[in-house]
Amino acid sequence: MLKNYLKLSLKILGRRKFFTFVSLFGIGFTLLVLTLAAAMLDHIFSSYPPETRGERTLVIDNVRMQGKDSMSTGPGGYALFDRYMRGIPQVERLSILSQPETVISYWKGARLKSLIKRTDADFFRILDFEFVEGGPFGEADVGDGRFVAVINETTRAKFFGGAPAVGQTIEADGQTFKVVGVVPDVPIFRLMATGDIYVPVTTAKTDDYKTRLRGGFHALFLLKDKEAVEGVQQEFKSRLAKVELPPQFDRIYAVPETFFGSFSRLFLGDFKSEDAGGRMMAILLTAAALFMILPAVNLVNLNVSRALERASEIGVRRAFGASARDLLLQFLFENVVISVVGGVLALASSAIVLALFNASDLIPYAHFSLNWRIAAWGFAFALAFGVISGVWPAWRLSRLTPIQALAGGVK
Amino acid sequence: MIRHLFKLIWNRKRANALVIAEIFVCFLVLFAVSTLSLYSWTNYHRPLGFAYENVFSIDVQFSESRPEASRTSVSGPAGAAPAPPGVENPHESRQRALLAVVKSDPAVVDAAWASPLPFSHSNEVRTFAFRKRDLSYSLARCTDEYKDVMGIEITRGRWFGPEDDGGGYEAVVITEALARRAFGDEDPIGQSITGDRDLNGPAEIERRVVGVMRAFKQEGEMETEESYVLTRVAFSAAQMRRIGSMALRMKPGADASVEARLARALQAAAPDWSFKVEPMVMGAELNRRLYMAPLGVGALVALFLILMVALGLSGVLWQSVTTRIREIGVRRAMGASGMDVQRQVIGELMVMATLAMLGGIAVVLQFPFLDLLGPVPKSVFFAGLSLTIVGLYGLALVCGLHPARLATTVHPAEALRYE
Repeated sequence: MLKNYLKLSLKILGRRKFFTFVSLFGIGFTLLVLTLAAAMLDHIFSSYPPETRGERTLVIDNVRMQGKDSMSTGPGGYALFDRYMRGIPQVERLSILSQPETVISYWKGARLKSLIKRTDADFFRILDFEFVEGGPFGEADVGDGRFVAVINETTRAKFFGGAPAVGQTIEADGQTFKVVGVVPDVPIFRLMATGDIYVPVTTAKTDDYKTRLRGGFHALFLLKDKEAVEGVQQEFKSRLAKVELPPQFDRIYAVPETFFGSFSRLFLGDFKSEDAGGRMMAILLTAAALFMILPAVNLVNLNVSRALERASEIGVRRAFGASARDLLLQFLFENVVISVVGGVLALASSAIVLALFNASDLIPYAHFSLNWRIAAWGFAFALAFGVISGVWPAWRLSRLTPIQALAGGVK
Repeated sequence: MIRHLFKLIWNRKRANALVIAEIFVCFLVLFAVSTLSLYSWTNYHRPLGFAYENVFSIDVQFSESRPEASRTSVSGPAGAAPAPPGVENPHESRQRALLAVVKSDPAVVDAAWASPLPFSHSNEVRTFAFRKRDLSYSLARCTDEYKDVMGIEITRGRWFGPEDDGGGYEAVVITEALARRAFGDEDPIGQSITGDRDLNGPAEIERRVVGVMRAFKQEGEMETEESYVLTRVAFSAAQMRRIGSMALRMKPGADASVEARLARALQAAAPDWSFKVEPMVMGAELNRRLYMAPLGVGALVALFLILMVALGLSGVLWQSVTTRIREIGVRRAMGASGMDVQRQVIGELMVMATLAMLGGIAVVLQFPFLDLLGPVPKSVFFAGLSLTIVGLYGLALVCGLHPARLATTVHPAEALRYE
């Protein structure tokens, strides 16, 4: 039965080239935009190397301190994590890392701009960098404040023209570091892992950061297992209550959660609710649905106006006893098939667009690619679009009485 | 004629309602795109107010010798709480020394401390009741050299200087746009631009307008907010401790080696502070790209959407011409010319487009009525609206031409025989 419908819908695709082209152009373009959006969001928020332990890693991206007349929102402070959050029972490791910060090096007459991240030894244990050369710095390096650095491949190319760098020294922000390791580039939007130069936090020019509750730092928590999320969040909440706040603030909010959840919190300005990520997802899906409206109306119009082509077929089928419901399902199925064909085209062309985008270097180190998760989203979008744009024409066609249909009339 | 067209449309109301709905949605998309592009275009052509070529910016990060846990965020009114009077500036001697260091460099023409600098993406916004109305502006603080460093053009009054020392007020220079909004036709010189005295809150030091500058679009050509205030800050003032950036007017041709020299000299003078030297053109270029990229992507998507609608509409019309071939045949047989038929097809489409647009206009007119325009001026809104109306009629005409021409090729005899 379905096989017949499938055959039929492919036949119809081949029947009138202009209309097929217009339909497929509309469907394909709509799904292309949605697939591209899905691919980009996926690369920003899902786990990609070196974040291989994503399902049991939580981050604190931003915190908010609130008082009666003042409010302070942004990255957390080193003291907040170091003083209050060490030794949570379900947490295997905790890494405190600075936001990527721009530093400038003057190297052989050229001006080089890099992002530096100051962090600790556990950073390289929570994240799974595949070292190209050398290795990470360790506890001793951090403890003694040694001027050592792990750099990424682009930085190696900029400073040493791609030649081996371990053992060499680089200059950044007036400080000199000895290179101990080289890692692959991490795209700039992967805020936790990205950086051109990674150095021990203790190499900062002053110790100011050690007393701050807010400003400059993120935290990464590696849990013992992924079921521990709620326990850790509870423990974290009770510890936050004990933080000694500066006089103008009486509350502090921070939740260890996924990067997406944390981003949503900042985006929505919502630091109180439990699940900001859910709200953000609803907003994104609504935006996708709104985007589909115009293409859907367009396709509905085309399909309705082509009803006459199918009139005799409908008449014959009705006369031989097919119910309106049968016909409705058949036409809906046809539309979904066309949408899925459009979806496949969209997926193929999105691969090309993403490759072009990567080559354009608009976003440093971006390597957008397709994967099964994104393909699944594309398929879901195609199904949704097929149903949204197919229901009304299918209903119209299925309502025709056999006589009307055979007479070839639809007003 | 028109009445007849309405009747024809009414006879096929179901199919036509869909076409009208499509044109309606298309209207909204086209309206958003044209208004936004028009808005950006007019912003771009307003004066910038300063010249950033041959200017270096230096971002300075202090280390605070004493623990200061009360650092508030830079943006928003929360960060604007004034430091209590009487607190001296702990960085004074160093800030003076560093300014002398950069001024002594042969490639530097002049230099000033100022914050926030152009293209720094940070701003301090003041919002308060001013003469019982809401007023808000962005505020930057700078030392006296800033005018010459940035090439600021004074249109009325004067730039501030040592003559404003010890007057018990803060001397400020405001933009023409702010002068208009705050004082209307009154002469702004010598007036105060501080908020109405609030019984609950702490009173601010008076900010007295000494001059008016043409404009100051801090984030570059695409900037929308033009209410801007430059406030004079003295080295000894408490606020000076939060000024963490310098602007340097350079001789033409200053390159990376000059930057390196400046960075080294500054680092030597203050080893525990961090310095970032950058030509301001880089910030300007980045801002342009940050602004244009989403606009470009949006316009591209909208363009494709409209192309899709155009193809779809001509498909629908084509189809409707073929279904109505008998009707057309009868008209031809009764003596209507090809031109008449063509006029009918296009006329019907135009009537439908008009109906859809009336709906669309009714919707978008809610924006000015409900005061939802935000920073978009009414003139830009209505220009965008007219552009959309013209554009949509044009689009409908293009979509209708081919099907209409097809309709004229129908031969009466053939059409009447058609089954």
